[in-house]
Amino acid sequence: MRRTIPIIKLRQNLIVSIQIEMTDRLVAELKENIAFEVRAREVSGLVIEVSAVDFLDSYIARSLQQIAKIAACMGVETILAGLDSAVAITLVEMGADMLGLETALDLEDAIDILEERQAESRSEEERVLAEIYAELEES
Amino acid sequence: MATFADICAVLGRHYSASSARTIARMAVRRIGAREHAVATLRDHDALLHELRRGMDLFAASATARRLCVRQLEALFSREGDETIVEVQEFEVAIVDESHIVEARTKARTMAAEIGFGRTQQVKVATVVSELARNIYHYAGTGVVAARRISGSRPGIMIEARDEGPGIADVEAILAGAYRSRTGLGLGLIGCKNLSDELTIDTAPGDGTRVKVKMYR
Amino acid sequence: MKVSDLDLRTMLSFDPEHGKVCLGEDRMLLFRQDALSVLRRLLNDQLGERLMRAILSQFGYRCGNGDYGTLSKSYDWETELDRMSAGPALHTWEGIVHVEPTFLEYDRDSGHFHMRGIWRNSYEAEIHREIFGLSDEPVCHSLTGYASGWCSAFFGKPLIAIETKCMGKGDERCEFEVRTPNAWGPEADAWKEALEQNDYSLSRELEAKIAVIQEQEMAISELNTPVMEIWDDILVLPIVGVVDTRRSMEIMNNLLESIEQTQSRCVIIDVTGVEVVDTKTADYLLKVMRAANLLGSRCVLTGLSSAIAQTLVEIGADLSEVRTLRNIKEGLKDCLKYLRLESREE
Repeated sequence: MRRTIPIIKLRQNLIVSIQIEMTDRLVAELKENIAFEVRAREVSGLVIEVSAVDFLDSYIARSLQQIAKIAACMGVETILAGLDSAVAITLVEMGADMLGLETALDLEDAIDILEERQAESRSEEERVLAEIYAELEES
Repeated sequence: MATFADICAVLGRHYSASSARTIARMAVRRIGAREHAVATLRDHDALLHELRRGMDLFAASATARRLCVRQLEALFSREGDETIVEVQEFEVAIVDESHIVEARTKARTMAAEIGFGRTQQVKVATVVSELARNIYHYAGTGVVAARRISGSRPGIMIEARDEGPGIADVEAILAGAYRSRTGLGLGLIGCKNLSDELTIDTAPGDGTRVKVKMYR
Repeated sequence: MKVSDLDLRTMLSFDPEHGKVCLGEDRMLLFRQDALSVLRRLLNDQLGERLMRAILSQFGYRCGNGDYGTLSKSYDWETELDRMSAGPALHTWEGIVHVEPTFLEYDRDSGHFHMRGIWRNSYEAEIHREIFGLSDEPVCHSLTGYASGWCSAFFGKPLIAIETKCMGKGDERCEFEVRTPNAWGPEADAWKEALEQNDYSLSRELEAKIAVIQEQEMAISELNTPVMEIWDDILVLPIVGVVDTRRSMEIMNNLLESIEQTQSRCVIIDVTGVEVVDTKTADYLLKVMRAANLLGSRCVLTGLSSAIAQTLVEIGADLSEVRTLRNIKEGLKDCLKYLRLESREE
C-alpha cells in the first residue's frame, strides 16, 4: 500500500500529523502536497504535528524548515507541534539552528496560538474596515 | 592508555589547539604529574577535575563543555578494558533510499539491546541516518555496519564505507566552514557532535571511511 | 530518337575544369541524399509542414518543367509518346525514383489528359521516413511536383499530379496519377494548393508570421507595468510575464516615479501573472522593493504560486526580509491595517 500523509483543514488552519516513518520520498512528496494545499485552500496557518515522530535527521529537519519557508512565501505561518524530547535533544546537540521553527507543546497549543493571532488580526481588520466604511459614508 | 596527546586531541575538538594544550598542561601540572607520564596515571578523577577548571577559563559553549567532559571520561574509562566485539551486528548495503531507513532502524534496535536510553537511541539512529544519507547522496552506494563495544563502558561502533569521490577538505567541513547547498555538510558535523569519537579516513578519489564510537 | 535510346551517361557532360556538370546547356548538380534529408528537416522545423510542402513541390515542378525544355530542344523525338515518356525515363536516370508509367491517354483537341504510374525507390519517401517516421499523408512532394512540371510542359496546359499511394505512409510502393485541374475533385486540393503558392504568397506568409510576433512583442512591452493607485496611500503593481533586467529596470522606474508622484506609503507587488521566478528574478524584485523602502514605502509581495514558492526556497533565494502574502486581497487588508495603525500612533 502506498502511504501518504493526510493534510487536514480545520477552520483557518491546515494540520499535518506525521504518524509514519519518514522516508526521503515521503518528505519530498509532503513538501509538494503542502505547498499545493497552502495555495489552494484559504488558510492562514499550518501546524505540523510530530509527536509520533521519534526520529529526525538533518535532511528531514531541513525539509521541515523548507516547508515553513514555502508556506511563509504564501503568507502562511507554520508551527511545529509536539516535538519528542529525545528528538529535540538530538537536534540541539547536533548543532544549533537545526530547526529554527516556531514550536508548540502539542497540537492543541499550536492551534490556540494560531487562532488567537488570527482572531486578533481579524478583529483589527474589522475595526479598520468599519472605520473606512464610516469615512466613505461621510464623504 | 590515554596519553597527553590524546587529552589534547579531545580538548582540541572543542577548543583551539593552543587553548587545548594550555588547559591540558595546566591540569597536569596542578596534580603534580608529568606530561610524558600521563598514560601511567591511576587517578583520573583528579586530572579530570583540574581539566574542568581549566576548561571553564576558556570560552566555549556549555554544550561543548559538557560534551568535552563526556569525551574525556570516555577516554579515561576505556583504559585497557575496551574491546570491540568482532562479530558484526548488522551490515546494510546502501543502494537506494529505502536502505537509509533500514540502517537507522537496525541501529536503533541494536542500541536498545545494548541498553542505550531512549534519547541515546535516537542519537545513534540519527548518526547512522546521516552517514547512510551521505553515502547515498555523495557516493551512490556503500555500506553501513555496526559492531558492539564491550567493556566497562559498553557502546556501539558504526562504520560507514564507500568508494565514492571522497572528501577534499574534511577539516573545513568539520569546522563548519563549509556549507553545501543541500546542507549535507551539516550532517557530518552533527555526527561529530552526537558521537564520542569520530574518525574520517578519506581523500579525493579514494572513497570515504567514517568510524564513529558512541558509549552508553 | 526513341525513349529507349535515352542514356543519361552520354547526355551529361562532366567539365571538372570549370567545376560543372551539364545536361545540354543547363548546369546540373549532384547532392548527397543525407544532406537533402537535413534540408527537409530544417524546412519542416523552421517553416512548418505546409510551407515545406509548397517549397518542395515547386522545386520539383521546376525540375520537371526544365528537364522537358532541355530534352525536347536537344533531341529529335520519333514520336510524341517518346517525347512524353522521356520524362519518367529521365527521372529514373537522375536517380530520384524508378518510374513505371502504367496508363497514358490524352487528346490535345479536347484538352483531356490522364496518366497513371508506379514509383519505386522514391528517395523522398525514404528520407521522409528516416526523419519523421511513417506519415499519414503521401510525402513525395518534389516527385509529384516533377510529374506536374513535366506533363504540363509537354501538354502545354497546367496539369496536376497527385500521389495515390506512398511508401512514406506505409504503402508497399508509391503510385501517382496526373489529370487536368478541372478533372480533379477535392482529393487533389492539397497538391493544387502547394503549386499555387507562389513566391509572393510564401514570403507573405512568413512576413505575416513575423509581423504577428512583432505585434505581440509590442503588445507585451506596452502591457508593461501599470502602477495603480487603488486606495489612498496604496499602490498596486501587477507584474505579468517575464521579469528580466530590462523589464526590472522599467518596473523600478515606473514604481519609483509613481511613489514620488503619489507619495504613497504602501506598495503591493503582485506576481500572480509571473510564471517563472528564478534567483535572478527574485533578486530584481528584492531590489525594486528595497528601492521603494528607501523612498519610505512599505512593500508587500503577493501571489507567489506554490511551484514558485518551492523553487525559491529550494534554490535558497532569501525572501525573509519581504512581507509575503497570499493574494492581493490579503495584501490590501494588510496595508489598510498598517496605515490605520500608523495614523493612530500619530
